[in-house]
Amino acid sequence: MIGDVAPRHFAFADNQPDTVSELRLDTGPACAAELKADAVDVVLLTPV
Amino acid sequence: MCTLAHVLEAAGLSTVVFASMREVAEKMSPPRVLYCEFPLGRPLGKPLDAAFQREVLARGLALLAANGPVLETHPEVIEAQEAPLVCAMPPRFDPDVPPAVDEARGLRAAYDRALAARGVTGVGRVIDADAVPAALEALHRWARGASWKDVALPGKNTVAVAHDIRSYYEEAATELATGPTPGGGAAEAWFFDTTEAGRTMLAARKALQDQGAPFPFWFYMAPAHR
Repeated sequence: MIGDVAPRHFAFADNQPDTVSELRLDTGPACAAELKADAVDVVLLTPV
Repeated sequence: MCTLAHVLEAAGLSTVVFASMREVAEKMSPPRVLYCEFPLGRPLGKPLDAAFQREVLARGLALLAANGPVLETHPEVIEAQEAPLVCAMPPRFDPDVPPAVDEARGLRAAYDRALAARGVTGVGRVIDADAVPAALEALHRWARGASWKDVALPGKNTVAVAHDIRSYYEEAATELATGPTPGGGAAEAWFFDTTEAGRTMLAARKALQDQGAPFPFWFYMAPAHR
């Protein structure tokens, strides 16, 4: 079903500020760029 | 998590959210959600059960075939089990130190074995394993009426120290617990309901509250319902 598992995974703290602005404008897009650099197609998001 | 899904989708990635809170997922409406009513901390449901975990993942990956936003519910519900771990504890050894200090010292060998076996530890936010007994001694003194302003806590940050002590205990317990795979709340119940350290931590937390310490200092030392 999948070609391979990505070489890296990323974790985010749950206690984000109300606006989630860092996640939306900074850390989230930066994470996306890193994932794309790893040739990722699909991201599975799980809570802990 | 749902916000992150939107951010990643905007960047051209496809996402599947394994949600533990349906209301949040409905409100945020990311493109693909599998709502799983499993205990918090167990997003794939059953530890050490690869077949079950694979089935959950396959159910989530199947949502990639959907066109519009989709929220499906995993058919199996797993309730949190609050029965404490079954775990042998060191007998009282040094009557001249508080019970929690004695207990923490007695668990050190098990903690070291767990660290050697796993190669990682959650202990170390603000104190290391060597400082756990001294931290418990400070909590014991707070619980007995000493002012948190007069008796210093190693590591200072009460919430981070509580995290380090719990990690130390729960990692040691992985080497000592017997019986079937524990339920989702078993380690927490074991720590707070059965160990001297857990009782000491709750008593210190109450003492901080009674002394008028700032809310964030004491409240987050333990789960809210305790």
